[in-house]
Amino acid sequence: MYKILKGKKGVIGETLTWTVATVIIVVLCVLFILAAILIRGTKKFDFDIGINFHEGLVDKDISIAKSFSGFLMTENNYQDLETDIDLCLYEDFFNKVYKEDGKTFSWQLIKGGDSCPKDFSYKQGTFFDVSYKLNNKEIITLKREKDT
Amino acid sequence: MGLMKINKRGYQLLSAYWFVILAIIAGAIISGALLFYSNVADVRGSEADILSGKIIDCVIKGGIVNQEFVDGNFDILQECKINFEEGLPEFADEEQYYIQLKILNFDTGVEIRKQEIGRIDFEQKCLDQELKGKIEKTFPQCKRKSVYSIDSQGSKYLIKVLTAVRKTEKNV
Repeated sequence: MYKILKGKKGVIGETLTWTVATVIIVVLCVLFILAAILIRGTKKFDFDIGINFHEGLVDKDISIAKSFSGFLMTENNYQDLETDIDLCLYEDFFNKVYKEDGKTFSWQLIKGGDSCPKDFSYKQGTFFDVSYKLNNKEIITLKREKDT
Repeated sequence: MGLMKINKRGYQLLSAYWFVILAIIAGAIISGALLFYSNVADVRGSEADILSGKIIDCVIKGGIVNQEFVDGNFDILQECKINFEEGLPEFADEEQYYIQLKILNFDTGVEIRKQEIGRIDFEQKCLDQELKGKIEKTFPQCKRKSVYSIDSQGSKYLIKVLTAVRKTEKNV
């Protein structure tokens, strides 16, 4: 169990080993503290704020979901809920509502293309997804708000 | 087990060394954890965002805006189940929230009605930050949202919501 040290050379060797080990331990500790300082600045909170849709799905931006529901109601003239809707009008509508908020809209990946869907129709009680790109980066899926 | 000649002084030194190393490592772990968890997270922007979302969800259902809200006969705090009471002694004397709602005619842009709840002086502080394009940590944090809706008669509205949350002492 015990190592018997005979002579100065053995003592010097052991001391050197632990001197180097000490330096490594101190450096690692400093790195650990620096990492803690760096990471603490990146604390971020991202809440999925939104509205509950059918099947428990949640849209991130409730105001967009509500506006989209209002748009569908308007285009359907509120009474005739089986009329086809021209979703190409939605881009102009969106840009008018959100101009001051700095949100921009463009169609994205709908039926393999990047333009508005021409053959889209909406019927009461049906749900659908429409994907679009917000501020040229975030792809959001629109869902019709559940009738309440 | 033969007879061993041990340098006792050397082992005493080594024991002291181990305690020093132990203290360094423990100190680093404790300081790292303290540094990380002592950082205050500012959640006021998210709180303002949640508040505006809650109001929008409350006044608009299925794309149709509540008619009583449009007419001004709608108690937002009661109907939307919003409670501004903080229950903390440091906030007992002054309100920490502000809500501003504007109902505009969607086609003409004319303001139909404006409603304010809470600290009305927060609006100017929100405007100041927007003009500077910079968030002032000691100011209330604000969130603006616009939403389109129609009423049961088919009239089109643009509803603008501004919410502000102060609570600086708890978040900065």
